[in-house]
Amino acid sequence: MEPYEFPKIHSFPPMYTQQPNATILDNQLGSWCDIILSYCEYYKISSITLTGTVIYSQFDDLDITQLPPVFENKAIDRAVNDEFKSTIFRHLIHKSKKAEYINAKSPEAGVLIYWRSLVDWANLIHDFVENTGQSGTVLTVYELTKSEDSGLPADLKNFDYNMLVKVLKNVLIKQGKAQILMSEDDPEQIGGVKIV
Amino acid sequence: MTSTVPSAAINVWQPVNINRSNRPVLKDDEEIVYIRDNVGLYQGRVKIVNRQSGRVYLTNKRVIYIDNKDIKKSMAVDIDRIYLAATIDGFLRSSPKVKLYVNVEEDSKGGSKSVSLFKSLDWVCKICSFNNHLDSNYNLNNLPRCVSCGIPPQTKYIESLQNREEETSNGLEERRDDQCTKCTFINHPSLRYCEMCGSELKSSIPEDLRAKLHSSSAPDINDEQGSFNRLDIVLEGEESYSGDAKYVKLSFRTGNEQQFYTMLNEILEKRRWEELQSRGGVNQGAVKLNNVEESVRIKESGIYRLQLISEQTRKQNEMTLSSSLEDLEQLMYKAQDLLKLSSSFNSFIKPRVQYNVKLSALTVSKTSKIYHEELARHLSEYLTNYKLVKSSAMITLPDLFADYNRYLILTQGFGMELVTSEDFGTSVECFEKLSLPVVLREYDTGLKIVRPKFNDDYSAIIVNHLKNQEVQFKFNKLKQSILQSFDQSFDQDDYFKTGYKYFKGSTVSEISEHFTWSNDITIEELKKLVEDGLILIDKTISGTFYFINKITNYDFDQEREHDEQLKQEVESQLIKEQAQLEASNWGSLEPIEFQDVEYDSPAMKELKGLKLT
Repeated sequence: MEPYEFPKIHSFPPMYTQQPNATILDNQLGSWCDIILSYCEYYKISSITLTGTVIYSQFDDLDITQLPPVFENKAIDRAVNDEFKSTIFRHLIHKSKKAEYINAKSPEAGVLIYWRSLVDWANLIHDFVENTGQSGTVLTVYELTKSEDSGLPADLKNFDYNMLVKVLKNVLIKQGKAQILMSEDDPEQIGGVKIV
Repeated sequence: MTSTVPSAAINVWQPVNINRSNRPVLKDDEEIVYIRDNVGLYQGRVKIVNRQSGRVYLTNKRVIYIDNKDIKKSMAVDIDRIYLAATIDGFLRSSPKVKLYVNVEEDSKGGSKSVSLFKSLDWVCKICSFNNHLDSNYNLNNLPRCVSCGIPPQTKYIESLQNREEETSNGLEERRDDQCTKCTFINHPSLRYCEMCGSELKSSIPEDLRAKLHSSSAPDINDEQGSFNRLDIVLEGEESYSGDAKYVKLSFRTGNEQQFYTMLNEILEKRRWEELQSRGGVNQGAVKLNNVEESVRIKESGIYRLQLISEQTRKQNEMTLSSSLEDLEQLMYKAQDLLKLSSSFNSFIKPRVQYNVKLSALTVSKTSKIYHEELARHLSEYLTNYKLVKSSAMITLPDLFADYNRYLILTQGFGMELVTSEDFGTSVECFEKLSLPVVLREYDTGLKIVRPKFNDDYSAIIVNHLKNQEVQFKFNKLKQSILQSFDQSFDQDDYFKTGYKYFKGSTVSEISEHFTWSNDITIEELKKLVEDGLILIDKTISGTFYFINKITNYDFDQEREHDEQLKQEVESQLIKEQAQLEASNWGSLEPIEFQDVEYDSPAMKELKGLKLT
């Protein structure tokens, strides 16, 4: 897989310093959010820590430790400091609303990156279930994300469990299109999903 | 302890008037010269009881003792009474003292009569028959000499004259007030001087009134003596003196007797000189010679003594030399040499900068009302001619102050009066009022600068400069990469690879250098631009760098297009250079030299014009 090609602004040294002017800073944060989103989309990254370390990618053959770091540019010897990183993420979460903490109580656990919106994800799942004629049947999480021969679209392959929970809870259940059955072994885990 | 009433002491000591703040009330023309605390009094060899802790005021007329405990015990000695002073060194528990030798009348009953006379007297010299005049208050023991021949009159003769005067004044009735006592000419009653001989006439004021006036103006010693021992002077023992002379002693418990002694001596010396002058013993225009300081007695012996003596002579010589400098003529003479000397230094300060335009020197005097305005004009003239020649130029106030003064010295040499910071401050404030081509501006941080008036905003200039820097960088980088593609060994040591890795932006010092500003100014200007969002900062451990704003609405595609154009420009430039080298006949063998060239291509111009929003 070709490494991600960062936009030109990623090689612009002032990007790595928090700018004092408020307007510029806003633009700067916007640029960073764009970079993060397109970076995550390219590598199908669903969650990332506040320091920029990739937690989960849908590409199971991808070594996530070998990815070019998003907050660093070796060519110009620049890196975003941790303080500015969390500023960028706060902007991404609260202003752009393109990310969410995995666990709001412990932000250091990382954030989910919504390079595709939750509604779009929900539609994808719903369409898949409907198209395969499985409406109303209880499906396991495995069937929804891992199964090889059920016509699962590539986008849903290896779909992040955390993301799936978000999609189900925040969109499909609220829309009344899904029901969740909790696992008998672990009441925290979803055992089965019924989508109508 | 037998306490006695001293006979001489009563004659010497006089009561003192003291004001409410316990300081002596001074007489006319009297002034305090020296004050010393912790002083005790001795009459001769014995202490005076209850006068052992007080302050001594040395005035030009008296030595006043003010007791610290009881101010009623205060008393004074007239300077006129003192004819000699001496110091006694302290020894073990005995404090240093100053001995004052005083005149004590032999005959204490007729004190006023024998010591001085309050009326003036005329006497005729027996030798040359010159008619001398004797001022009032003269001393019979020390009569002045004849003004004409310099022979002193006999005391007896003066006394007889005095007696006669008294007799005549007693038997006044037979003589008229307006009759001259000398030539017997009867003058008009309103005249004060005889019309014939010019001698003073007896005034027509009634005798008793005159007596009253007289007694009030001059305190009569007789009166004081009338109340016997009013000062209540009690001695610790029998009054005794070492030697015949009578003296009192001041015991300085906390030292510093030497200073008192020298000051007292000065006063005595002055007194004597004045006395001599009043007696006519001094030629007109005569100058008093300062006594050579009394040489300190040398107690040591042997080689050390010799050393001390030579040291003393050396000191004396030094004093003579330094005192001779006080002579004004001497100084004027030296001034010529000094001027010569200072002008010889001028060669050392040959101006490094050549000032092509000669400014007329400021000739207004410092006290003039228009001085500050003229100085402001001169400053502005100086600035516009030398300092602020570039449109982007500006200068901080301290720099201007230093440079201007330096300029004054360089153009007008030493001896030129420099501009003070106060005058300078007032003058620069005048710039606006006088509508001069330079203005004073203050940044938020308080930094003050002076700059040409027409240029009010430097932001465009700075942004353009930053933009140019980047284009320049790209141009050089492209050139280098093209050269490298031809010649692999071109950048063996990776100098250009590291140097042109990426555009590092501009630092404060680079910008300062380019605009020839001081760093303070650059920092202020950049700060303003950063706050306005026109430029961006890049803070790293290696420093702070400044960039144009590429974050907001910047078209990177357009930049890429320009880069393509730039590449072509570089190629054509290289071909041109190559052609030149070949034409110059030695080129082809030599490797193509790489130079950071100032280059201004159409593409670059366009880039420069890239509009920022």
